[in-house]
Amino acid sequence: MAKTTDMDRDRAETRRSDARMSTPELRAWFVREVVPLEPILMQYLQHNWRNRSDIVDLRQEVYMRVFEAAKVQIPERTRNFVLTTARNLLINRVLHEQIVPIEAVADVEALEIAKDAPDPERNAIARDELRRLQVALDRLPSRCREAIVLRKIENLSIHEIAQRMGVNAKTVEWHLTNGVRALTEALYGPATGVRGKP
Amino acid sequence: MSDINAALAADHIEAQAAEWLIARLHDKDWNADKEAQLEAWFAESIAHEVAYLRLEAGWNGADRLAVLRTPVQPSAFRPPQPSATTKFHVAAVLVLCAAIGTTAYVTTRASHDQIFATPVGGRETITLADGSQIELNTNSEIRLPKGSRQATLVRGEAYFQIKHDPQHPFTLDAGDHRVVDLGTKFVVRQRASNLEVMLVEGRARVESASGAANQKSAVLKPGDVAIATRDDLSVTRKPASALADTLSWRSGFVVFHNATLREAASELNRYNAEQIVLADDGAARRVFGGKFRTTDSKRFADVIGTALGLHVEHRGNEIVISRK
Repeated sequence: MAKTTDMDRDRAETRRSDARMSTPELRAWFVREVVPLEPILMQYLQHNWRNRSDIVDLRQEVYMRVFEAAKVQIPERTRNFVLTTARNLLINRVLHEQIVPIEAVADVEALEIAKDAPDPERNAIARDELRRLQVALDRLPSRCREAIVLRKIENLSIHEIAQRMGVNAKTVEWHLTNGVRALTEALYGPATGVRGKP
Repeated sequence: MSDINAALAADHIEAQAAEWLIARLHDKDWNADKEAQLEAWFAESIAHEVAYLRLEAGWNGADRLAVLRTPVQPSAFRPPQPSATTKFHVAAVLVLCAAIGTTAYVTTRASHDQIFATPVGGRETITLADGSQIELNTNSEIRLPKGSRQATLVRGEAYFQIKHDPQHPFTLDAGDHRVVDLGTKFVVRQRASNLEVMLVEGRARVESASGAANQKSAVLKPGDVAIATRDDLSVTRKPASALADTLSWRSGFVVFHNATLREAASELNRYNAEQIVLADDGAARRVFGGKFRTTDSKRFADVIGTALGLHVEHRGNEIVISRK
Protein backbone atom coordinates (compact mmCIF):
# COMPACT_ATOMS: atom_id res chain seq x y z
CA MET A 1 0.00 0.00 0.00
CA ALA A 2 1.21 3.45 -0.82
CA LYS A 3 2.30 5.79 1.87
CA THR A 4 2.89 9.46 1.08
CA THR A 5 1.07 8.97 -2.13
CA ASP A 6 -2.07 8.26 -0.17
CA MET A 7 -2.83 11.94 -0.03
CA ASP A 8 -2.32 12.23 -3.74
CA ARG A 9 -5.03 9.80 -4.47
CA ASP A 10 -7.70 11.47 -6.51
CA ARG A 11 -10.44 12.91 -4.45
CA ALA A 12 -14.00 12.89 -5.61
CA GLU A 13 -14.97 16.48 -5.95
CA THR A 14 -18.50 16.71 -4.78
CA ARG A 15 -18.10 20.36 -3.96
CA ARG A 16 -17.86 23.12 -6.43
CA SER A 17 -14.30 24.23 -6.94
CA ASP A 18 -13.41 27.78 -6.19
CA ALA A 19 -12.35 29.77 -9.19
CA ARG A 20 -9.12 30.65 -7.49
CA MET A 21 -8.17 27.31 -6.14
CA SER A 22 -9.86 23.94 -6.26
CA THR A 23 -10.92 22.27 -3.08
CA PRO A 24 -8.22 19.58 -3.31
CA GLU A 25 -5.62 22.28 -3.91
CA LEU A 26 -6.90 24.28 -0.98
CA ARG A 27 -6.78 21.24 1.27
CA ALA A 28 -3.32 20.30 0.06
CA TRP A 29 -2.18 23.84 0.77
CA PHE A 30 -3.58 23.63 4.28
CA VAL A 31 -1.87 20.31 4.94
CA ARG A 32 1.42 21.46 3.45
CA GLU A 33 1.63 25.08 4.64
CA VAL A 34 -0.61 25.67 7.62
CA VAL A 35 -0.53 22.64 9.88
CA PRO A 36 3.29 22.47 10.04
CA LEU A 37 3.18 25.94 11.59
CA GLU A 38 1.33 24.54 14.54
CA PRO A 39 4.29 24.59 16.96
CA ILE A 40 4.68 28.30 16.30
CA LEU A 41 0.96 28.90 16.61
CA MET A 42 0.75 26.94 19.86
CA GLN A 43 3.75 28.77 21.26
CA TYR A 44 2.07 32.04 20.44
CA LEU A 45 -1.26 31.02 21.98
CA GLN A 46 0.32 29.65 25.12
CA HIS A 47 2.45 32.70 25.53
CA ASN A 48 -0.48 35.05 25.26
CA TRP A 49 -3.36 33.19 26.81
CA ARG A 50 -3.18 32.02 30.37
CA ASN A 51 -6.03 29.62 30.46
CA ARG A 52 -4.44 26.43 29.12
CA SER A 53 -7.72 24.62 28.79
CA ASP A 54 -8.74 27.07 26.06
CA ILE A 55 -5.73 26.50 23.85
CA VAL A 56 -7.01 23.59 21.79
CA ASP A 57 -10.28 25.40 21.23
CA LEU A 58 -8.41 28.53 20.16
CA ARG A 59 -6.20 26.55 17.78
CA GLN A 60 -9.25 25.03 16.16
CA GLU A 61 -10.84 28.45 15.81
CA VAL A 62 -7.70 29.84 14.16
CA TYR A 63 -7.64 26.95 11.70
CA MET A 64 -11.27 27.45 10.83
CA ARG A 65 -10.78 31.15 10.20
CA VAL A 66 -7.63 30.59 8.16
CA PHE A 67 -9.29 27.91 6.06
CA GLU A 68 -12.37 30.02 5.50
CA ALA A 69 -10.29 33.02 4.46
CA ALA A 70 -8.13 30.93 2.15
CA LYS A 71 -11.19 29.83 0.23
CA VAL A 72 -11.39 33.39 -1.04
CA GLN A 73 -7.72 34.00 -1.35
CA ILE A 74 -4.61 32.11 -0.38
CA PRO A 75 -2.48 34.42 1.73
CA GLU A 76 0.98 35.09 0.42
CA ARG A 77 2.75 34.73 3.70
CA THR A 78 1.16 31.88 5.54
CA ARG A 79 2.98 32.32 8.82
CA ASN A 80 2.06 35.96 9.19
CA PHE A 81 -1.48 35.26 8.23
CA VAL A 82 -1.88 32.47 10.76
CA LEU A 83 -0.39 34.50 13.58
CA THR A 84 -2.37 37.60 12.71
CA THR A 85 -5.52 35.52 12.72
CA ALA A 86 -4.58 34.20 16.16
CA ARG A 87 -3.92 37.68 17.43
CA ASN A 88 -7.24 39.01 16.20
CA LEU A 89 -9.01 36.08 17.77
CA LEU A 90 -7.42 36.69 21.17
CA ILE A 91 -8.20 40.38 21.10
CA ASN A 92 -11.73 39.62 20.09
CA ARG A 93 -12.14 37.27 23.02
CA VAL A 94 -10.78 39.76 25.49
CA LEU A 95 -13.00 42.54 24.25
CA HIS A 96 -16.23 40.69 23.71
CA GLU A 97 -16.42 37.95 26.23
CA GLN A 98 -17.10 39.15 29.68
CA ILE A 99 -16.38 35.81 31.21
CA VAL A 100 -12.75 36.03 30.23
CA PRO A 101 -10.92 37.31 33.27
CA ILE A 102 -8.90 40.30 32.32
CA GLU A 103 -5.70 38.62 33.38
CA ALA A 104 -6.28 35.89 30.82
CA VAL A 105 -4.26 37.78 28.29
CA ALA A 106 -0.87 38.98 29.33
CA ASP A 107 -1.21 42.29 27.58
CA VAL A 108 -3.25 43.10 24.53
CA GLU A 109 -0.61 45.53 23.35
CA ALA A 110 2.00 42.84 23.67
CA LEU A 111 0.15 40.69 21.19
CA GLU A 112 2.05 42.31 18.37
CA ILE A 113 3.80 39.90 16.11
CA ALA A 114 7.32 40.31 14.87
CA LYS A 115 6.06 40.13 11.34
CA ASP A 116 9.24 40.01 9.38
CA ALA A 117 11.45 38.33 11.87
CA PRO A 118 13.18 35.28 10.50
CA ASP A 119 12.04 31.97 11.74
CA PRO A 120 14.98 30.31 13.41
CA GLU A 121 12.74 28.00 15.36
CA ARG A 122 11.38 26.49 12.17
CA ASN A 123 14.56 24.61 11.31
CA ALA A 124 14.95 23.46 14.84
CA ILE A 125 11.41 22.13 14.70
CA ALA A 126 12.10 20.22 11.51
CA ARG A 127 15.18 18.61 13.01
CA ASP A 128 13.18 17.83 16.06
CA GLU A 129 10.41 16.00 14.28
CA LEU A 130 11.89 12.54 14.29
CA ARG A 131 12.73 12.78 17.94
CA ARG A 132 9.21 13.96 18.73
CA LEU A 133 7.76 11.06 16.79
CA GLN A 134 9.99 8.59 18.55
CA VAL A 135 8.98 9.87 21.95
CA ALA A 136 5.32 9.73 20.98
CA LEU A 137 5.72 6.21 19.66
CA ASP A 138 7.33 5.17 22.91
CA ARG A 139 4.37 6.47 24.82
CA LEU A 140 1.68 4.69 22.86
CA PRO A 141 -0.03 1.67 24.38
CA SER A 142 1.87 -1.40 23.19
CA ARG A 143 -0.67 -2.76 20.68
CA CYS A 144 -1.22 0.65 19.17
CA ARG A 145 2.53 1.14 18.90
CA GLU A 146 2.91 -2.22 17.23
CA ALA A 147 0.32 -1.33 14.61
CA ILE A 148 1.96 2.03 13.91
CA VAL A 149 5.42 0.48 13.64
CA LEU A 150 4.15 -2.14 11.20
CA ARG A 151 2.42 0.51 9.10
CA LYS A 152 4.85 3.40 9.16
CA ILE A 153 8.18 1.67 9.59
CA GLU A 154 7.65 -1.72 8.03
CA ASN A 155 5.12 -0.39 5.53
CA LEU A 156 2.70 -3.30 5.82
CA SER A 157 -0.91 -3.09 4.66
CA ILE A 158 -3.80 -3.22 7.08
CA HIS A 159 -4.42 -6.80 6.05
CA GLU A 160 -0.82 -7.80 6.70
CA ILE A 161 -0.76 -6.00 10.01
CA ALA A 162 -3.96 -7.74 11.05
CA GLN A 163 -2.44 -11.13 10.27
CA ARG A 164 0.79 -10.29 12.02
CA MET A 165 -1.00 -9.10 15.15
CA GLY A 166 -3.63 -11.82 15.10
CA VAL A 167 -6.53 -9.38 15.10
CA ASN A 168 -9.03 -8.24 12.51
CA ALA A 169 -8.68 -5.26 10.20
CA LYS A 170 -11.13 -3.15 12.17
CA THR A 171 -8.98 -3.48 15.26
CA VAL A 172 -5.91 -2.42 13.31
CA GLU A 173 -7.79 0.61 12.04
CA TRP A 174 -8.81 1.41 15.56
CA HIS A 175 -5.18 1.33 16.70
CA LEU A 176 -4.11 3.51 13.78
CA THR A 177 -6.92 5.93 14.54
CA ASN A 178 -5.56 6.42 18.03
CA GLY A 179 -2.03 6.47 16.74
CA VAL A 180 -2.58 9.21 14.19
CA ARG A 181 -3.97 11.50 16.86
CA ALA A 182 -1.04 10.94 19.20
CA LEU A 183 1.55 11.31 16.46
CA THR A 184 -0.04 14.48 15.11
CA GLU A 185 -0.07 15.95 18.58
CA ALA A 186 3.59 15.02 19.02
CA LEU A 187 4.57 16.42 15.67
CA TYR A 188 2.73 19.70 15.77
CA GLY A 189 1.72 20.20 19.36
CA PRO A 190 3.60 22.53 21.68
CA ALA A 191 7.31 21.88 22.02
CA THR A 192 6.81 21.21 25.70
CA GLY A 193 4.88 18.14 24.68
CA VAL A 194 8.05 16.13 24.32
CA ARG A 195 10.04 17.19 27.28
CA GLY A 196 11.28 14.59 29.69
CA LYS A 197 13.54 12.91 27.19
CA PRO A 198 17.21 13.02 28.06
CA MET B 1 -13.94 30.64 26.81
CA SER B 2 -13.12 27.97 29.29
CA ASP B 3 -15.77 25.63 28.16
CA ILE B 4 -15.70 21.93 28.86
CA ASN B 5 -18.28 21.47 26.14
CA ALA B 6 -16.04 23.09 23.58
CA ALA B 7 -13.12 20.89 24.60
CA LEU B 8 -15.28 17.78 24.50
CA ALA B 9 -16.67 18.73 21.14
CA ALA B 10 -13.19 19.29 19.74
CA ASP B 11 -12.08 15.94 21.05
CA HIS B 12 -15.11 14.25 19.56
CA ILE B 13 -14.50 15.86 16.18
CA GLU B 14 -10.87 14.82 16.21
CA ALA B 15 -11.82 11.24 17.02
CA GLN B 16 -14.26 11.19 14.10
CA ALA B 17 -11.73 12.83 11.80
CA ALA B 18 -9.15 10.18 12.70
CA GLU B 19 -11.59 7.42 11.86
CA TRP B 20 -12.41 9.00 8.51
CA LEU B 21 -8.76 9.51 7.70
CA ILE B 22 -7.65 5.98 8.47
CA ALA B 23 -10.65 4.52 6.67
CA ARG B 24 -10.10 6.68 3.62
CA LEU B 25 -6.40 5.98 3.36
CA HIS B 26 -6.31 2.35 4.36
CA ASP B 27 -9.71 0.73 4.15
CA LYS B 28 -9.83 -1.51 1.12
CA ASP B 29 -13.60 -1.11 1.00
CA TRP B 30 -13.38 2.65 0.53
CA ASN B 31 -15.57 3.77 -2.37
CA ALA B 32 -17.23 6.75 -3.98
CA ASP B 33 -20.18 6.38 -1.69
CA LYS B 34 -18.02 6.74 1.37
CA GLU B 35 -16.14 9.57 -0.23
CA ALA B 36 -19.46 11.37 -0.64
CA GLN B 37 -20.28 10.72 3.01
CA LEU B 38 -16.95 12.20 4.01
CA GLU B 39 -17.61 15.26 1.88
CA ALA B 40 -21.00 15.60 3.51
CA TRP B 41 -19.31 15.47 6.89
CA PHE B 42 -16.92 18.21 5.78
CA ALA B 43 -19.84 20.26 4.55
CA GLU B 44 -21.41 20.18 8.02
CA SER B 45 -18.66 22.28 9.53
CA ILE B 46 -15.27 23.68 8.68
CA ALA B 47 -14.24 22.38 12.09
CA HIS B 48 -14.59 18.87 10.67
CA GLU B 49 -12.56 19.66 7.60
CA VAL B 50 -9.65 21.34 9.38
CA ALA B 51 -9.50 18.61 12.02
CA TYR B 52 -9.22 16.04 9.24
CA LEU B 53 -6.57 18.01 7.37
CA ARG B 54 -4.54 18.48 10.52
CA LEU B 55 -4.47 14.73 11.10
CA GLU B 56 -3.67 14.12 7.46
CA ALA B 57 -0.63 16.37 7.82
CA GLY B 58 0.36 14.46 10.96
CA TRP B 59 -0.09 11.09 9.32
CA ASN B 60 2.04 12.16 6.37
CA GLY B 61 4.60 13.65 8.70
CA ALA B 62 4.83 10.36 10.54
CA ASP B 63 6.34 8.89 7.38
CA ARG B 64 9.59 10.23 8.73
CA LEU B 65 9.56 7.18 10.95
CA ALA B 66 10.42 5.15 7.88
CA VAL B 67 14.07 6.08 8.38
CA LEU B 68 13.98 3.72 11.31
CA ARG B 69 13.45 0.77 8.98
CA THR B 70 16.06 -2.00 9.00
CA PRO B 71 18.79 -2.81 9.72
CA VAL B 72 18.09 -1.38 13.14
CA GLN B 73 14.75 -2.93 13.85
CA PRO B 74 12.28 -1.06 15.97
CA SER B 75 12.94 -3.25 18.94
CA ALA B 76 13.67 -0.05 20.78
CA PHE B 77 10.03 0.74 20.41
CA ARG B 78 8.89 -2.42 22.01
CA PRO B 79 9.61 -1.95 25.65
CA PRO B 80 9.47 -5.01 27.83
CA GLN B 81 5.89 -6.00 28.21
CA PRO B 82 4.53 -6.30 31.69
CA SER B 83 4.86 -9.96 32.37
CA ALA B 84 1.50 -9.95 34.07
CA THR B 85 -0.12 -10.31 30.67
CA THR B 86 1.50 -13.58 29.92
CA LYS B 87 1.86 -15.07 33.36
CA PHE B 88 -1.63 -14.35 34.47
CA HIS B 89 -3.45 -17.63 34.17
CA VAL B 90 -6.58 -17.03 36.15
CA ALA B 91 -9.27 -16.76 33.56
CA ALA B 92 -10.55 -13.23 33.79
CA VAL B 93 -13.87 -14.17 32.31
CA LEU B 94 -16.14 -11.22 32.26
CA VAL B 95 -19.67 -11.56 33.37
CA LEU B 96 -22.20 -8.97 32.53
CA CYS B 97 -24.39 -8.30 35.47
CA ALA B 98 -26.98 -5.86 36.63
CA ALA B 99 -27.55 -3.77 33.58
CA ILE B 100 -29.19 -0.77 35.17
CA GLY B 101 -31.94 -0.07 32.71
CA THR B 102 -29.66 0.79 29.82
CA THR B 103 -28.78 -0.64 26.50
CA ALA B 104 -25.08 -1.13 26.94
CA TYR B 105 -23.60 -3.32 24.30
CA VAL B 106 -20.82 -5.82 24.35
CA THR B 107 -18.75 -6.72 21.38
CA THR B 108 -15.81 -8.97 20.94
CA ARG B 109 -13.06 -7.78 18.71
CA ALA B 110 -11.03 -10.58 17.25
CA SER B 111 -10.38 -12.96 20.08
CA HIS B 112 -8.71 -10.45 22.34
CA ASP B 113 -10.69 -7.55 23.58
CA GLN B 114 -14.07 -7.33 25.14
CA ILE B 115 -15.62 -3.96 24.78
CA PHE B 116 -18.26 -2.53 27.03
CA ALA B 117 -19.89 0.75 26.17
CA THR B 118 -22.75 2.84 27.43
CA PRO B 119 -24.85 5.28 25.41
CA VAL B 120 -25.54 8.85 26.48
CA GLY B 121 -27.51 8.63 29.71
CA GLY B 122 -26.57 4.98 30.24
CA ARG B 123 -24.88 3.21 33.12
CA GLU B 124 -23.47 -0.25 33.34
CA THR B 125 -21.87 -2.52 35.93
CA ILE B 126 -19.35 -5.11 34.83
CA THR B 127 -18.24 -7.83 37.20
CA LEU B 128 -14.95 -9.55 36.61
CA ALA B 129 -14.28 -13.17 37.42
CA ASP B 130 -12.44 -12.28 40.61
CA GLY B 131 -15.37 -10.23 41.86
CA SER B 132 -13.88 -6.88 40.90
CA GLN B 133 -16.48 -4.44 39.65
CA ILE B 134 -16.40 -1.69 37.10
CA GLU B 135 -19.26 0.77 36.78
CA LEU B 136 -19.42 2.73 33.57
CA ASN B 137 -21.00 6.16 33.58
CA THR B 138 -22.78 7.82 30.66
CA ASN B 139 -21.24 7.69 27.17
CA SER B 140 -18.24 5.65 28.23
CA GLU B 141 -16.30 2.77 26.77
CA ILE B 142 -13.83 0.33 28.23
CA ARG B 143 -11.78 -2.44 26.66
CA LEU B 144 -10.86 -5.52 28.59
CA PRO B 145 -8.47 -7.91 26.91
CA LYS B 146 -9.35 -11.48 27.72
CA GLY B 147 -7.16 -13.15 30.26
CA SER B 148 -5.43 -10.02 31.40
CA ARG B 149 -5.82 -7.39 34.06
CA GLN B 150 -4.96 -4.54 31.72
CA ALA B 151 -8.01 -2.49 30.83
CA THR B 152 -8.29 0.60 28.67
CA LEU B 153 -10.77 3.37 29.28
CA VAL B 154 -11.43 4.55 25.75
CA ARG B 155 -13.68 7.41 26.78
CA GLY B 156 -15.87 8.65 29.57
CA GLU B 157 -15.89 7.81 33.24
CA ALA B 158 -15.87 4.68 35.33
CA TYR B 159 -15.77 3.65 38.97
CA PHE B 160 -13.52 0.73 39.85
CA GLN B 161 -13.71 -1.58 42.84
CA ILE B 162 -10.79 -3.87 42.30
CA LYS B 163 -9.92 -7.05 44.15
CA HIS B 164 -6.26 -6.61 44.79
CA ASP B 165 -3.76 -9.18 43.62
CA PRO B 166 -0.18 -8.11 44.36
CA GLN B 167 1.16 -10.60 41.82
CA HIS B 168 -1.06 -9.31 39.04
CA PRO B 169 -1.97 -5.72 39.71
CA PHE B 170 -4.91 -4.40 37.76
CA THR B 171 -3.89 -1.61 35.40
CA LEU B 172 -6.05 0.85 33.56
CA ASP B 173 -4.78 2.79 30.57
CA ALA B 174 -6.50 6.06 29.75
CA GLY B 175 -5.04 8.46 27.26
CA ASP B 176 -1.38 8.92 28.05
CA HIS B 177 -1.67 7.56 31.54
CA ARG B 178 -1.95 4.39 33.46
CA VAL B 179 -3.51 3.74 36.84
CA VAL B 180 -2.05 0.82 38.73
CA ASP B 181 -4.22 -0.65 41.43
CA LEU B 182 -2.65 -1.19 44.82
CA GLY B 183 -5.87 -2.37 46.50
CA THR B 184 -8.46 0.07 45.54
CA LYS B 185 -11.70 1.83 44.84
CA PHE B 186 -11.23 4.70 42.44
CA VAL B 187 -12.99 6.68 39.78
CA VAL B 188 -11.47 7.74 36.47
CA ARG B 189 -12.83 10.36 34.16
CA GLN B 190 -11.32 11.05 30.79
CA ARG B 191 -11.74 14.54 29.43
CA ALA B 192 -10.52 16.06 26.22
CA SER B 193 -7.66 17.84 27.90
CA ASN B 194 -6.97 15.81 30.99
CA LEU B 195 -7.56 12.69 32.96
CA GLU B 196 -8.97 12.81 36.47
CA VAL B 197 -8.38 9.98 38.91
CA MET B 198 -10.04 10.16 42.29
CA LEU B 199 -9.15 7.65 44.95
CA VAL B 200 -11.96 6.54 47.24
CA GLU B 201 -10.36 3.70 49.16
CA GLY B 202 -7.00 1.93 49.29
CA ARG B 203 -4.12 3.03 47.13
CA ALA B 204 -3.35 3.39 43.44
CA ARG B 205 -0.53 4.73 41.38
CA VAL B 206 -0.94 7.04 38.40
CA GLU B 207 1.86 7.04 35.86
CA SER B 208 2.59 7.62 32.24
CA ALA B 209 1.24 4.78 30.11
CA SER B 210 4.63 4.12 28.57
CA GLY B 211 5.98 3.39 32.04
CA ALA B 212 9.19 5.22 31.17
CA ALA B 213 11.36 5.81 34.19
CA ASN B 214 11.64 9.52 33.62
CA GLN B 215 7.91 10.09 33.70
CA LYS B 216 6.08 11.54 36.63
CA SER B 217 4.00 9.27 38.77
CA ALA B 218 2.06 9.64 42.00
CA VAL B 219 0.68 7.25 44.57
CA LEU B 220 -2.82 8.29 45.61
CA LYS B 221 -4.37 8.00 49.04
CA PRO B 222 -8.10 8.17 49.75
CA GLY B 223 -9.41 11.63 48.96
CA ASP B 224 -6.62 12.39 46.53
CA VAL B 225 -7.60 13.63 43.10
CA ALA B 226 -4.95 13.43 40.41
CA ILE B 227 -5.29 15.60 37.33
CA ALA B 228 -3.04 14.31 34.59
CA THR B 229 -2.39 16.09 31.34
CA ARG B 230 0.08 14.81 28.84
CA ASP B 231 2.95 16.56 30.54
CA ASP B 232 1.86 17.28 34.05
CA LEU B 233 0.48 15.46 36.99
CA SER B 234 -0.95 17.31 39.94
CA VAL B 235 -2.66 15.96 43.04
CA THR B 236 -5.21 17.76 45.19
CA ARG B 237 -7.44 16.53 47.98
CA LYS B 238 -11.19 16.43 48.33
CA PRO B 239 -13.12 16.10 51.58
CA ALA B 240 -15.15 12.92 52.04
CA SER B 241 -18.44 14.71 51.35
CA ALA B 242 -17.15 15.95 48.00
CA LEU B 243 -16.06 12.41 47.11
CA ALA B 244 -19.57 11.16 47.72
CA ASP B 245 -21.02 13.96 45.61
CA THR B 246 -18.68 13.16 42.77
CA LEU B 247 -19.85 9.56 42.85
CA SER B 248 -23.56 10.32 43.03
CA TRP B 249 -23.88 9.42 39.32
CA ARG B 250 -23.69 5.82 40.49
CA SER B 251 -27.19 6.24 41.86
CA GLY B 252 -28.34 8.43 38.99
CA PHE B 253 -27.82 11.85 40.47
CA VAL B 254 -25.55 14.80 40.07
CA VAL B 255 -24.82 17.18 42.95
CA PHE B 256 -23.73 20.81 42.68
CA HIS B 257 -22.35 23.16 45.30
CA ASN B 258 -21.71 26.74 44.30
CA ALA B 259 -21.59 25.70 40.69
CA THR B 260 -22.13 28.10 37.85
CA LEU B 261 -24.99 27.29 35.55
CA ARG B 262 -22.40 26.84 32.80
CA GLU B 263 -20.64 24.09 34.74
CA ALA B 264 -23.88 22.45 35.74
CA ALA B 265 -25.34 22.52 32.24
CA SER B 266 -22.18 21.04 30.81
CA GLU B 267 -22.36 18.23 33.36
CA LEU B 268 -26.05 17.55 32.70
CA ASN B 269 -25.42 17.56 28.96
CA ARG B 270 -23.12 14.58 29.33
CA TYR B 271 -26.14 12.48 30.20
CA ASN B 272 -28.77 13.69 27.79
CA ALA B 273 -29.39 13.91 24.10
CA GLU B 274 -31.53 16.91 24.89
CA GLN B 275 -28.91 19.61 25.41
CA ILE B 276 -29.15 22.62 27.67
CA VAL B 277 -28.00 25.75 25.88
CA LEU B 278 -27.19 28.94 27.73
CA ALA B 279 -28.16 31.89 25.62
CA ASP B 280 -26.14 34.51 27.44
CA ASP B 281 -23.30 34.89 29.89
CA GLY B 282 -25.57 36.51 32.42
CA ALA B 283 -27.44 33.23 32.79
CA ALA B 284 -24.31 31.10 32.47
CA ARG B 285 -22.64 32.78 35.42
CA ARG B 286 -25.45 32.32 37.89
CA VAL B 287 -24.33 30.25 40.85
CA PHE B 288 -26.45 27.70 42.66
CA GLY B 289 -26.47 24.30 44.33
CA GLY B 290 -28.67 21.23 44.40
CA LYS B 291 -29.16 17.57 43.60
CA PHE B 292 -30.65 16.55 40.29
CA ARG B 293 -31.48 13.44 38.35
CA THR B 294 -28.84 13.01 35.64
CA THR B 295 -31.25 12.05 32.91
CA ASP B 296 -33.95 14.65 33.38
CA SER B 297 -32.64 17.87 31.87
CA LYS B 298 -36.19 19.14 31.41
CA ARG B 299 -36.87 19.03 35.09
CA PHE B 300 -33.46 20.50 35.85
CA ALA B 301 -34.15 23.43 33.54
CA ASP B 302 -37.58 24.05 35.03
CA VAL B 303 -36.27 24.05 38.59
CA ILE B 304 -33.39 26.34 37.67
CA GLY B 305 -35.69 28.63 35.75
CA THR B 306 -37.99 29.04 38.72
CA ALA B 307 -35.25 29.27 41.33
CA LEU B 308 -33.05 31.73 39.51
CA GLY B 309 -35.77 33.61 37.68
CA LEU B 310 -34.50 32.65 34.24
CA HIS B 311 -36.38 32.13 31.02
CA VAL B 312 -36.61 28.52 29.84
CA GLU B 313 -37.59 27.61 26.32
CA HIS B 314 -37.85 24.16 24.77
CA ARG B 315 -36.76 24.10 21.14
CA GLY B 316 -36.64 20.69 19.59
CA ASN B 317 -33.71 18.89 21.07
CA GLU B 318 -32.50 21.92 22.98
CA ILE B 319 -33.53 23.66 26.14
CA VAL B 320 -32.51 27.28 25.94
CA ILE B 321 -32.02 29.15 29.20
CA SER B 322 -31.66 32.92 29.15
CA ARG B 323 -32.22 36.02 31.21
CA LYS B 324 -35.76 37.31 31.11
